[in-house]
Amino acid sequence: MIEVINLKMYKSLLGLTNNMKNLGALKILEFLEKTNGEVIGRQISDAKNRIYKANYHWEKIDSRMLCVNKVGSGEKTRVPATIDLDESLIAFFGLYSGDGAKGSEDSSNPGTLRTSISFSQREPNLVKFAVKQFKKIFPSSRFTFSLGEDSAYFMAEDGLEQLKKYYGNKLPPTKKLLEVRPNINEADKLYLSEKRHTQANVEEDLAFFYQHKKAMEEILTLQKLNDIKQAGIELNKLDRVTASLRRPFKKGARLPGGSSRSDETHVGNVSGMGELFLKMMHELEETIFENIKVSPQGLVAWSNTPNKIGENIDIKSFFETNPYGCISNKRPKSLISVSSSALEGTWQGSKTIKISKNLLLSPLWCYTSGLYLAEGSSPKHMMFDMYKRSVSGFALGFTSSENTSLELVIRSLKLLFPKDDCVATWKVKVGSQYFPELVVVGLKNAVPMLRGGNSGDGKMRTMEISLAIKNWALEVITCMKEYEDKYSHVEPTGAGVPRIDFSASSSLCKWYFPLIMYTVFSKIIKNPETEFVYNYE
Amino acid sequence: MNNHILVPLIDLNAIKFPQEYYDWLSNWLSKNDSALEDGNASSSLCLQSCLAEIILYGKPKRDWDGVWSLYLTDDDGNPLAYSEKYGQRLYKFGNQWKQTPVHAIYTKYWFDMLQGITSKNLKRYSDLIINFIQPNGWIYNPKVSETSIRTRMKSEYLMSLAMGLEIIEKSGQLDTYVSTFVSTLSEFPLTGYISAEYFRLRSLEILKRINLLPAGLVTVLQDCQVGQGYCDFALKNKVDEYMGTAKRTSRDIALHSPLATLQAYYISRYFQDTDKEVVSSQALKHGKYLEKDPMGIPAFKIRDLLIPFGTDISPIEIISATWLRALI
Repeated sequence: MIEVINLKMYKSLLGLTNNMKNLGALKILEFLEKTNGEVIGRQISDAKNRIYKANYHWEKIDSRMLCVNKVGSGEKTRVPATIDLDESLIAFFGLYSGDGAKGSEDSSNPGTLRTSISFSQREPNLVKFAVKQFKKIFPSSRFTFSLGEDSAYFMAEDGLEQLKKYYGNKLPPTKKLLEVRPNINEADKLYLSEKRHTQANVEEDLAFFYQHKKAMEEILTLQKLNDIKQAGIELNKLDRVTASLRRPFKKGARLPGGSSRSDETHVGNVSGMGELFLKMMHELEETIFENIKVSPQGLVAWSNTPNKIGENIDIKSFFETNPYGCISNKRPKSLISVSSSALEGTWQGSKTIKISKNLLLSPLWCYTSGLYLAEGSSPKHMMFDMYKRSVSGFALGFTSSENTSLELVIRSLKLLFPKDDCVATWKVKVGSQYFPELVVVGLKNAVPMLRGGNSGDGKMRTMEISLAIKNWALEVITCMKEYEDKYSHVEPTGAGVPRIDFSASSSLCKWYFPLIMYTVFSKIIKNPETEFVYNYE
Repeated sequence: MNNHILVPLIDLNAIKFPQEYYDWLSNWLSKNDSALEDGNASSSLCLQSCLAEIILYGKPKRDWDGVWSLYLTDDDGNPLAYSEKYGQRLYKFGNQWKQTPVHAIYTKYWFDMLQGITSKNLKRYSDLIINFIQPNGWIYNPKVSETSIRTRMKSEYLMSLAMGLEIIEKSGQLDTYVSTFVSTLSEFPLTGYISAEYFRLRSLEILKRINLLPAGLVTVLQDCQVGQGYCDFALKNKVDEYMGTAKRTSRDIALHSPLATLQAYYISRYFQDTDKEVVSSQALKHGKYLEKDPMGIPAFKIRDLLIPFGTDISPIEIISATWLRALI
């Protein structure tokens, strides 16, 4: 009894309750001491297998803070000696695993990554969340928020209206390329030599780009600045907002007025920290995947085996009382016990599903909550909008070219739903770069490659090709073997390496999404209905 | 007649197959035996199985007519690409198994030709094909694949054209449509793919318009020459169809394929002697390579993943490889 009281008092002194405890820590100082500052790891993504490595110097500023710099890089970065891992930070690593930059290949050293730390995400709540988490790891970091767009966006519709408004509601007379760009550079020459189905006059388009470049950049910068303010992100003196504009149709717009927007958050003051950051993410993922208490090099240490730690959620209570369990002012119509471990629940107008009675917000659940927010098939804004208004078009699906990500997401779904409900169907999406290979696979099997759908992006009509690729998928993504009979087809798509895409019944969404939103945001947002930034407003 | 348009120049009864290929085909046939017995069939499986039987036993062994009528014919008597049971190999493929693409009609026509086609059936297949002639002059069944010509694969519609033309020509109905097809092909640019150019050539042969072979074919074959033979495509031609920019292909690998080498050889018969000699030498090189490494028929790989992406060896490749080895 005395021991129990002492434990409670101890937790109280630390400001922890059962619902607010750290699940583990990133032991930065211990790791650096153990490895003598040598960081080496492997990044497998987009079917590329590459290594990263760096050596670090460090010194203690005080008992809690280190000053770390990469050997060969002058910039010193403040990094905590130990970083507590709570649900949000674990989810952040999952989010970064999906949306974050992993680096680009070092052309002078093939197979090796040149790292950088940046984050591709437009959704303002997620940007705000990521900024907050970055600061837990690199307290002195600064940020550059960048909006990238194809200048074809300004050639028609909304973009053109914005451009007109910039010039006082009337565009200046069109100029010729020679007038606006007397000396074209190599990039211009390359652009002029490229052919696109949708482009009528490449020279006129390049002239448009240079004539209005400054105006378009200013419009985009202002737009991004407004987004940042709306999200409630406070800019420091060193933070910057910029625009990155591409020549018409170069970035991906297919028609005048078409958008190919991308939003990046670049992290500054962290020069040389990319390898250390990737190592944190990889060791964290590895411990979750293997369910081990301490990562191989000791960088990640959990308070217990990962599948045994975390807040325990009573699902019935969550959906009946928690603000995160209330969607658009509604709660489930019924939620009744059907066995010692399962409930049956129904949202109004939705299919009845089976769901676990309890859910442990373990590191696996937390990590995949972030990962799903980054890579899941539902539009991001819906996950936030659902608290404020009724949304339609929910879908539960996930796409990846790596087994680890897919297996972790499926494992986490199984914590909540019966195995057979977690994957309703799966397919292989193949980008146009690999169509020639698909054609050859067809020819070897005595058939042509017949595409479905109006734009050719539908279900492959040639079964032989889909069946020939199935074996590849099952060998690469081994976790799909238990769902082998639910493989549906190959889907030719615009771009990207061949990857697996699975989907589950959309009736699971209203159960799954509130729980992942709670996991990621509940420590910083108490009332999702009123505190999130809503895009539709 | 056992010469199929996919694998030209080969008389299956006359060519001697190496023992290792006999063994491979025998094993392959045996693996697919129970599926065929069970009605789990596709037109392509029937074609390859029948080719294997001719190679192994000198003649077809199965009641193929029965397979077609039991499993691969729709209610209107049209040939199907897949049986209902085969359609269940993919989850939720639904009624899409019930499709009549041009290649399924051609395969049925080929089976009928083996045993002596009736003029009634020939007319029937020809009418089906004529019904698939599109306003743009290409032949395809939009009910199977409705996508526009811009998003179709070039080798697909050129294959369908060559197959369709052969049937229409055999039925004696070609004259009415010659100008439509000639006009389509005369303005059709080089594709950069060996298979597509091979099927264009076969179409032009049927139309007796070899003079319409596009300039630059020699370059296509030069670009597609890789490893010991030829690949259907050239890596440098992988271009983003929307952005017009070169794809990042540093990790992609083009691979030699006996079929591509055979088709390249067929095309080169219309080249001038010096260019023809280059292709013949490469085909011979490929044959010698296969003599040393009979199963050296690789599958593609995706970037750094070692798992084969799709098919490596197939009956079609074995037949092509045998022909290449016979060049030695």
